[in-house]
Amino acid sequence: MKIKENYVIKTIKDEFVVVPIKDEAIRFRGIITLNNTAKFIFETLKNRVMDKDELLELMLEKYDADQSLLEKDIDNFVRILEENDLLE
Amino acid sequence: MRKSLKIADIYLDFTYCYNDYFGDKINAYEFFDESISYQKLVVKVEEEIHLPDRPITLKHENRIKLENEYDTYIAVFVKDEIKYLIYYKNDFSLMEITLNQKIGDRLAEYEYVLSGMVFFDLAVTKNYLSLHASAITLDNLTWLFSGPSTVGKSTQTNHFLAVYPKSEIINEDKPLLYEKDKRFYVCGTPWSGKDVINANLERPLDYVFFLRKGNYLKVSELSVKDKITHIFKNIHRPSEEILLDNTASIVDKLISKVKIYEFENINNQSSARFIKQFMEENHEN
Repeated sequence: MKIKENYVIKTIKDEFVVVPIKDEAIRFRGIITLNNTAKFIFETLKNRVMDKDELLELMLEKYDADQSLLEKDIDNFVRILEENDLLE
Repeated sequence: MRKSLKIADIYLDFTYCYNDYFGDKINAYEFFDESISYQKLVVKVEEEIHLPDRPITLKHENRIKLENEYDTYIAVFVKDEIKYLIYYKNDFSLMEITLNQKIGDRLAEYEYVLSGMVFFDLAVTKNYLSLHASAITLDNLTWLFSGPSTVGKSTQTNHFLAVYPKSEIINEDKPLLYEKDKRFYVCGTPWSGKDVINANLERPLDYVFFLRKGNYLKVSELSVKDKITHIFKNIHRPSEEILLDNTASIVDKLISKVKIYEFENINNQSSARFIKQFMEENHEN
């Protein structure tokens, strides 16, 4: 998985918001708000191609959290990315 | 028709073809000062539209973009023919919209929508935000009813005017919002729908209400996340990141300085009385 080009994160009042630019701004008219784990996933997938297992491994290193909760976070956010066609 | 306009602090040399939307309303913005450099926006209608022989930098569905470091063309096609072409110098000193005559009965509508789109891109470069809203002022209160089309902005505005005839519509489509002297302001623009009388007024902005049709009257607090979502759904959003940074910064300030709520309303004049009472009770002088 990798996030398409032309999506950027903007910070507004301490909230993280994904907004499309350039050609993606024509296609996708919405925005996606991010919590901290979603922001980490987004930034990771924006820079690297990674599958869910690799992502989980990286998150287990970063967050002191239960594996099943992190898996759920990944699944939920990847579903949002897929639904909005943000993945290459 | 060609007019020199001052819209907020934007000086625009505007050439347009149709009076259907702009009518006499545009005259309120006329301002000429030969010492000022105006940014030029021209709308024209042609039988055939041609593109320069330059590389295509973006292709998406029926539109293409030809962009270099100096200027940009955006062409929208129907079949093999250009329906309209937008050209602008990247510093917005010159903007041109060419409409294909075959658009026919809807030429005036296309002129209104596309010239607005280009103007509001220009406005973002100067730190203005354009929100899809009705902007109304009465006595010492100024507020916006915002939301997507069909949510009832005009309906609620009309109820308010019926109950409080002294209220004035600043704009009923796309007012400009901006920060000045540590306050947030709203002002009119010539892009204010077809039939409504608007005013070239500038007022400090007290409230923004995102409308929701309901079965009873209720004003609800919104989380910051919901405010951001509502605002982004209803603003003119630029596609260039540098302009998007401006927009994000203005939205941040708007949320800090203006009271923003959801207003669940009914199609009835009681909505007007309810919301006026709410604003008066919560107003800080």
